[in-house]
Amino acid sequence: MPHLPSPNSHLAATSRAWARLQDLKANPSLALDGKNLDIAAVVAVAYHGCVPHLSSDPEVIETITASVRVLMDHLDQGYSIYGVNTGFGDSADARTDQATPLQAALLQHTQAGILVASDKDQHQTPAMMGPHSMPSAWVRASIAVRANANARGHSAVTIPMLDGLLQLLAHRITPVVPLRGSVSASGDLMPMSYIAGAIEGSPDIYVRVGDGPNRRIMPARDALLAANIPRRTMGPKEGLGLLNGTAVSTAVASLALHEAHLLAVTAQALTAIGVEALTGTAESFHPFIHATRPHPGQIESAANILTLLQGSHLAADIHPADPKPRTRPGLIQDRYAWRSAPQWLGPQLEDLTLADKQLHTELNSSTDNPLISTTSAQIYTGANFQAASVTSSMEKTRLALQMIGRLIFAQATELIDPSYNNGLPTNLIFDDVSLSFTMKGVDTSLAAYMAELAWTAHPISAHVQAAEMHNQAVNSLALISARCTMQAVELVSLMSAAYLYVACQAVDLRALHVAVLKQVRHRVAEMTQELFGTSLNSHLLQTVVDAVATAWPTTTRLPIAERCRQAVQAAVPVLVNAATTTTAELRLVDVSGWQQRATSIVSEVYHTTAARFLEHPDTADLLGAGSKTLYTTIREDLQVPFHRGFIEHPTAQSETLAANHRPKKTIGSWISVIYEALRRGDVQGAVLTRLRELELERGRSDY
Amino acid sequence: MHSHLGHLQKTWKLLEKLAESNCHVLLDGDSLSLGAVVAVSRSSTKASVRDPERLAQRLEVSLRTLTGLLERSEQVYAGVNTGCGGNADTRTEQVRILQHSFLQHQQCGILPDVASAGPGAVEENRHSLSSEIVRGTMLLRCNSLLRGHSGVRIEIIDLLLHALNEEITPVIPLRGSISASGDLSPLAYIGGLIEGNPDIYVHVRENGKARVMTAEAALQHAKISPLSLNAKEGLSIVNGTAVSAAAASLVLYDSHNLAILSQVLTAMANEALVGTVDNYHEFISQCRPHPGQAEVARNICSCLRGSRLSQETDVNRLGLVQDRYALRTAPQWIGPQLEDLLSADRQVEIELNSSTDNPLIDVSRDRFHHGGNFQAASVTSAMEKARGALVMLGKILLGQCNELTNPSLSGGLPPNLCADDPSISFTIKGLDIHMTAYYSELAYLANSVASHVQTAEMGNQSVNSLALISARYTGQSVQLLSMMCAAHLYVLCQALDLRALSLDFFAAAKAEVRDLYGKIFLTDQELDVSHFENVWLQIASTWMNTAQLDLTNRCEKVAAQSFAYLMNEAMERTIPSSSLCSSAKLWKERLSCVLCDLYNHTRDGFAENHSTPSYLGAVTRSTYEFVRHNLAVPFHRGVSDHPTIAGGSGTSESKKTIGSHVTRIYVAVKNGDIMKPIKPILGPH
Repeated sequence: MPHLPSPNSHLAATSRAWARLQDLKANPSLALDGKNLDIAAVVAVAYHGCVPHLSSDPEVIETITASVRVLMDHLDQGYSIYGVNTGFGDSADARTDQATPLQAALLQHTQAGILVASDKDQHQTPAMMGPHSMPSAWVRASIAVRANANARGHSAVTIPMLDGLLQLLAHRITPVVPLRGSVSASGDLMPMSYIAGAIEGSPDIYVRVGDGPNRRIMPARDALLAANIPRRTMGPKEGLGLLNGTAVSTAVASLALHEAHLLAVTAQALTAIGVEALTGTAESFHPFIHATRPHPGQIESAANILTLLQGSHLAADIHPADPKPRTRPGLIQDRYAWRSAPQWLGPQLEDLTLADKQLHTELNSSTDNPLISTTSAQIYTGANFQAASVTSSMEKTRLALQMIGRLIFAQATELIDPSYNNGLPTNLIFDDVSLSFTMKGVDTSLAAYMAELAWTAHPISAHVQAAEMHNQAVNSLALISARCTMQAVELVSLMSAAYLYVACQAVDLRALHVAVLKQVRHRVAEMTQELFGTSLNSHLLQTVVDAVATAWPTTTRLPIAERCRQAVQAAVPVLVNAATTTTAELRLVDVSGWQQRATSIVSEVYHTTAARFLEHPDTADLLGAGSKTLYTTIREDLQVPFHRGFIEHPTAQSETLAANHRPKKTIGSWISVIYEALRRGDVQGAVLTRLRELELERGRSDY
Repeated sequence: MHSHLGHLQKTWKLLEKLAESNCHVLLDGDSLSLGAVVAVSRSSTKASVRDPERLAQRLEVSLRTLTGLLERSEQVYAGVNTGCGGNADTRTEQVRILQHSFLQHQQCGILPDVASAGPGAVEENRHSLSSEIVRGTMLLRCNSLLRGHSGVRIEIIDLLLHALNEEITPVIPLRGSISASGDLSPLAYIGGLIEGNPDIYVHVRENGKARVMTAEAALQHAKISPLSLNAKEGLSIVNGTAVSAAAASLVLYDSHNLAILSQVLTAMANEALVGTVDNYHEFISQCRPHPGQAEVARNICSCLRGSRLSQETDVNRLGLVQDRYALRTAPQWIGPQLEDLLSADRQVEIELNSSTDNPLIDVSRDRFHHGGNFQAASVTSAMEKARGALVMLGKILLGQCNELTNPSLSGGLPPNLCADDPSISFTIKGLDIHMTAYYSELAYLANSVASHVQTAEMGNQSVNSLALISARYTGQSVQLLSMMCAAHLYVLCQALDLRALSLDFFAAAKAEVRDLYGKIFLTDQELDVSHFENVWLQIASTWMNTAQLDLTNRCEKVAAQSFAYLMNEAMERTIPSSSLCSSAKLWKERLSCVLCDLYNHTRDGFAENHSTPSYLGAVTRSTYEFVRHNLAVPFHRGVSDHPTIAGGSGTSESKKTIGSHVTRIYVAVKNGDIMKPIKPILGPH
């Protein structure tokens, strides 16, 4: 039996996060106490309307208030405190006693991002310039992360200011934040200054109010007025406390990593369904192999894929305890895209797990400067805004996504190419190879996605520039890295969607292939027996039937009629040879008669089986647990149909499809349906749920 | 979790133990460590099999299973009775010849010197793998084969270990492996040694001198009988990740050391720039509890323990209240790199004790398993992370070095850290540019190797790990970062000397200027000496801001500014008398001379006897002294130290190009000597 995933495994962690997200979607409220924020909660705030509020825990409140007190005491003593009575950054040699205007001056100089007209006015249509602002989801997530960090009581941001921050979310007010301009070193100063500007009620900071079609864009001042929220003035250090931190990088990184985890789990399910489509072997995932090279990620990935394959009638050697299959024609082992999947994906799971640890720590960290210790009543100058931990996690994640994408690319292209797909039609065509090219465009698109993905793999961290009068000789570039990782998420999602479309078509064609061969064997044997009687013994009969069956998969580049002819023709020498070893006299006319009858049988079998298949596909019954889940999600839940060939084209005439009342779409539109489901997490959710069930079942059966 | 330093200290300890004579690395397939690989690869530490009887028995059982399966001949096994890779659709019964046939088609690398000039011409050249990687490879392959999943005779392992201990190492082409079906081609050259191939070349050591001869001759010479291969043995030798993992082990060990060194250099930079230890206060790391960040802060603090230069921040400090990012954010910057290096270390250590060929023999189930353990993506993953970490380390060192060189950022150090006059001498200007060149190349190397995978071998290897390529480039990154560390260390020692000199000068000058002040103004009631602290503060501040001037001009400028200051002070109270005016004029003239004489005097004295160590923290002091004494890299006194300029008190030792001095440090970084002063002092974790 495959190993049960340990609680530390990537799958277990992803599964827990998924379950937590479902809870938060059902109960969209979240208390922030500075210690317990997780990635799932950030996702819930960003995408699922979860509204965070400050914890009512008296200890949390008291620490926040105490930090403000310590700051005020220091100011009363006349001490120099960075950013409170000094200038900022390399201008911290300046001193001032105007603590409150200083905070506004901080906002003033950091609100320097570029926004275009359409960012500030919903009536403006972006002509040549698309949006230059961040998606609202990122901004919401950033607000939650920042509020959680400030709730730790090291920042001297007052409770009213924190309320002002969180009220934005409660009233669905999302500041319009420029996309570019942060080096994530003194934290994400620029983007946070726009959020702070909204709290101030600045008339030249814009916000989006509401979501969806009713969303309106207006100046922050108007939005606060309409929502009856007081405008707030930044007290000493409050501007710095809001701006100076890694919230935006951490928020975007959390959203990217959340999807990357799900894509990593999906990649294992994609491997399983591909192995089945090729009637490959589960031997590659046997625990023995992985115990001999005990990388934890490799062991886990092999165990997961083996679990997903349970119940398959297509993959060979499913049960590790079974004796090995006696013989196997052709390549003795699957190609690397399948066989080395655990060795390939394993290290990526390890990197993603480390990236997760780094981000989780960052989510519950104080990332501004200076920091106030309420226990020792001291103020410490440090650099927790340097988001290199976030960069580190994002660079690993992006590289892992690149590796995942590379595997998907290799697998998808092998499914489409008749030299590698073990007897499936070229381009996975159902109808006529001379007229229809089903997956050819997808094959090319995949190469385009892969090329772009490979480009994103290059590190951002090697492009650091000295910034801000050389004060920031090193700066983390975490937000840029997170944005690029989000791009990689998008590309791997595109590839996964395309792959799923390809794989479902491939398993359908495999099911058809299996059914056709079974019938062909049966019917050809019957006819041959009838024609030659006992002059061919059962062994010789078998060699003739085998010859037809073996030739059939090699003819997939041909139209059906020609396929039938060639497969039968390939068996003729075998028949003649068989006959010469018997005593019976074989006449030429018998051979040609056999050939004609066999050809028409194969043709008839193919057409009736195909027709039956279109009415009642039995693919799902042949699949292992994971593939069955993927397949039914695509075919039933998402209603993405088997591609029947040229007649699927929206402008092609087809009575059958019209009678079926099912829509016809371009191939791209079908893949888009899968893509959107993937981005929502629907497909991955189904796989995770199924894996969890299997785990529980096996957990019981193990005892 | 172990700290990075704690982890490395264990490796250091093991290396020390293995350096003692007669200490063998014992192989059993399960317990090989990074330290042991380093010892065998780089020193002449010998290796042998632990508990040979038991392990011979284990291999015997595995062989019996293999033979049994083959005799029943009911199944096919990839590479045993089939072709290999994309040609595994052929079947053969010539199982022995097949194994040599595998070697034949993989022995196809390019070795120009051997081909054109014969074995006599081969040195360590850039077309072959370094012999340290080859030694590591032989060691790793033996360790993996000993695990009993591969079906080889103990004789194969004995031969390889014998050759390794005799320092016979094959010449292996540098390029040609995609590390997917393992490092097939490089390992085929190891196979060539085993089969005594007369067209495979090996390095041998004869009377301490390196020679190249054919594998056949070398075995004969060492009285080792070549082996002809049995079923599966060829495959078991070539099909594995030993080359990538060996290269990765060495690169990773170097990276670990460079990560520690970078922290020490950061501590030295903090002192040279008179930064603050508050940057590394534990409270800050507790607020953001990344383990790597906390460790770096702790390490830098221990480096700075006892320092008189890096102290706690004065709440009434003038100027920037906090250090710039290259100093202040070091824990946040270097911390995640330590986390990545530790993760890479775990991946490599597992790989060292893994079965990485295919198919694998499962004795207990009496069967073969066809899998893909040769796919070295774990090693790639480790190497891509390590290379990324090295770039980040390089960037922060570059930032520090730039700050030290630039007088507007260096807090009063002379431009280019020249000890003489900045109009004539440019001491580390060249090095500053070098640092940027080194870093630019290092940053270029950060690009991922893993995103350049091509489908290989008739489409069979559509994914292949490229681990060896990634390890080789990470090796180049190690070299570049080592160069940066060497240059930076040279710069730092110079900066620390100049800082010490300037503090010596300030201490002496303050006393003497106070005397002068007393003598000139004591009689005058308009200005009394109680103001001297302010007068001095103004002088010191002007001094710090005039580092770009030659000494004479600087002293005149400081004196002129002081004159203006005094006159201004006086005028605020009353109209200065003519006697005050003439006193102030005298002050201006005398002050300039006093400062000039005193500076020259202090500098001359300093050249004789450096006070620098007395200012430094524990670890930074020992590192500084190691450079100045053990490596004999002297304080750079300016243009007079140039080899072709006569005069000065320079001994021939100090008259070198700057590059030669830096090279001496570089060699110490490369061979690990630079860690000697650091190791014993960094506190236990």
